[in-house]
Amino acid sequence: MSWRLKALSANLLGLISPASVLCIWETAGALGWINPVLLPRPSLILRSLVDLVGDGAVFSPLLHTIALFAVGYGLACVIGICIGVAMATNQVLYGLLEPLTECIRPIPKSALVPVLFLFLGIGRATMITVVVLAAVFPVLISTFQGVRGLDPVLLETARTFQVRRQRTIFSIILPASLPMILAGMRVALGLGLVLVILAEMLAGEDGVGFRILDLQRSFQIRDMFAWIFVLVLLGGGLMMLFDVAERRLVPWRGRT
Amino acid sequence: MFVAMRLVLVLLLVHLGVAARAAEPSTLRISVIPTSVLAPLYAALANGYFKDEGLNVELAPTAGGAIGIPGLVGGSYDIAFSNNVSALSAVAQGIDVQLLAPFPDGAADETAVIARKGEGIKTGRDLNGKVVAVNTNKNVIWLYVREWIRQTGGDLSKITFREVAFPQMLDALKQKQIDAAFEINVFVIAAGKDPALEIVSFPYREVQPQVQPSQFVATRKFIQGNKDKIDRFLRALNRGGEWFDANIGKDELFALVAGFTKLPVDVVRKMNFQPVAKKLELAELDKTMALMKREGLLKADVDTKAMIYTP
Amino acid sequence: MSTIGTIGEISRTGARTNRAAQLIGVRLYGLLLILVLLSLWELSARLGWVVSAYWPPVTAILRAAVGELAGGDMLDALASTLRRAAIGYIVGSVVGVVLGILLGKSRVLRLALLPLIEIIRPIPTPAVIPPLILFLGVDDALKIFIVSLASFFPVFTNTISGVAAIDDTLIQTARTFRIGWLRTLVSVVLPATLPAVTAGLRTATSLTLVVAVLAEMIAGSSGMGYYLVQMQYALRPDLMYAAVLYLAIVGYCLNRAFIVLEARFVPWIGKT
Repeated sequence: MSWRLKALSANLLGLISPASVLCIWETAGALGWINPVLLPRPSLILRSLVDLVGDGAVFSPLLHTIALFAVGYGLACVIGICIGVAMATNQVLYGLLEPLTECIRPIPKSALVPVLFLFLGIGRATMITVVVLAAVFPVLISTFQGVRGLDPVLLETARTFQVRRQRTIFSIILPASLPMILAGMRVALGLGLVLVILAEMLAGEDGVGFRILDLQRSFQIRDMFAWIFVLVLLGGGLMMLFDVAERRLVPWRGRT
Repeated sequence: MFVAMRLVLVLLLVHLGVAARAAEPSTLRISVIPTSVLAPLYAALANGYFKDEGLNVELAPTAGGAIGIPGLVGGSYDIAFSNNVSALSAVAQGIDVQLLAPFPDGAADETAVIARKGEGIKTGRDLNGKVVAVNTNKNVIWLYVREWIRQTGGDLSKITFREVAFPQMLDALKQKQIDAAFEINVFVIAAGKDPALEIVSFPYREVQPQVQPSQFVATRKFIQGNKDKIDRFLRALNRGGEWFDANIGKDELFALVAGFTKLPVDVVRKMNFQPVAKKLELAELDKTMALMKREGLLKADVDTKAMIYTP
Repeated sequence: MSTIGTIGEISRTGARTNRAAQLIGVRLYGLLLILVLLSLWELSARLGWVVSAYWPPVTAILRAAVGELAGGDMLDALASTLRRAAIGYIVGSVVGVVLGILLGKSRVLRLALLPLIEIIRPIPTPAVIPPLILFLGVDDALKIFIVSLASFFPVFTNTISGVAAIDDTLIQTARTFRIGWLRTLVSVVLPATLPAVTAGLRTATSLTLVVAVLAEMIAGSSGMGYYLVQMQYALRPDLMYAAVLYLAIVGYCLNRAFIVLEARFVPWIGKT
């Protein structure tokens, strides 16, 4: 009971800051301090949002975005973890891939769009690649750090007991470096979502990013903000899912 | 607390002198996209016509038009380079802008639909079932290519429109990701030299030959508060236009355009420069509005007459 | 492991051998791989495997890159991008560390403010540029704000988890010895969170440049982002790729410099 109360009060406390921002925004809008064309009042935006959800128009673009995110983020995580572990455990692979990764990493991905268009076409392949290119590096780097940072005694022990390489990776290396890997995945989550929206703006045919840009260009800023609210809810939902998953996977962590 | 931090941050930035913009009495800040259409403006600047009017004109070029009109509303720009469709959409959404001056409208003669050679694409009818690239959905290029397709027997419900940036269109065409593209001057010239591509049509010429797609806009509020400044600006711009008209086909104009667009001079030489339109035509704006209504970009009529500024 | 937060450092296994030789030796294949890829690029452009105005041969790009050294717009553009990136990075990092420590130490603040911060995180900047223009204008403030926001998040997230991970006995000990909160902060909390903070700072370093360029692409009148787009429209892909090359080099150097500075100033990193 007291635990529940505590959780409830924590949640209420968490609502205070967003709520006060909305209140200030609403008041400033109502008093005419803010230009209503570029920044409409939240109450009006909420009405648009209700319409959007009410007539079901929200679902198809939202699903579109979620699908793109799932594929891009999923690929980024898998690729990042695989390469990260490979580079951390194999000196030859490290030497082979380190210069290339360090060369690609600092390139602004949006500058690569013409090249990607040229080789991957205008559409899904390009969009997924943009997302993966942006989201893979945090995962890769923290996986690498996580694995390299493992207690050498742990690996020595495995070697002493002649545990096979594959098993060492799956039973020792991955679980032990999981907190670091998850930290990278958390950074990649936020980044990935932003990049999905950007990719949809650049090359999309549908999706939340596509809608936002479309409405922005025709100056329907109120509806645009309704979609941004949708995006915020999506981001919040994904973060919460991530927290739950992390607490399951690494119960000794995340007690913040 | 967090809000306070943000506020501190903003104040800090302002303090760094990056946000503050003192509105000097003789300064006009103009948002532009460095395209050849703006040659009269650059000519007026280069020849000191603005100085002659006692104006200090600051150009703020951006790569795309996304921040022009929001920048006007936010007070960051005094005047912005924009197009008729954006201006009409803005007015329809309650952003009170007025059109100031037209530009040399080669639009009808140098903006073209491109397709792969030998595929027999000649009219809108030939595009049924195909993919057509436009730079921006629901904007001016999209609007006029759709109307051209409709008028030449195409069925819009059977055609897919894809948003592709101008520089990428020709590659996309050659790789068969799209079947036709509505391109602007520079790339129409490039397509003309490419043996794999051909020019299909000049949609503006067929749909609305006197169309005035690009112009300067400013908010009505700014215009009313700065009528004298605007009139001086337009006088100087007009002189820039006269210089432009007088130099069509001459090296001076090519050098000027190559200078601000950074294009190679030999490409600029191939551009089809047309004289500056004398004034904004209400009838042309009305035609654009009618097209927008038909496509659902406007729900109701806009007072186009009030949109045109007359000195 | 010598440093946290990088793949740019080799493990200590061979620390006794000549480090410099190893640094290149171990990367030899990697450098060869890059050379092979670049040669493929060159060939594909020269022999017409890829036909496009936007696929110039590598040598043409290099020529353009070298040509710009002698004078041209690109270095000015790079300088203005770096200036914006640097200011944004500093502002974002400072706010990130301060808020990270405050929210990490205070449960009430954390519960109250974390949701708001998490709400802002998924909002893509291009979507909110019109309303941002109202408050920040269209000039440097807008772009610097966007950069600082982007570098804020990794720094903040890492700091807050670093503070949370501090061994409680450290704090308890400080309390037992009646050490004041400021000294506790400076001598206990900061050193203990520094590894996490630097990891965040590193992520932010590479992100800043990317975001600065993106912001300039949308709303820039100068800088590399604007330059990149302008060169695309000016039919100069060689200069466009040369700009990308410079950005990659600068990004790489920044990361390297970071590693060196980190090893010097935060030597206890990775010694846990």
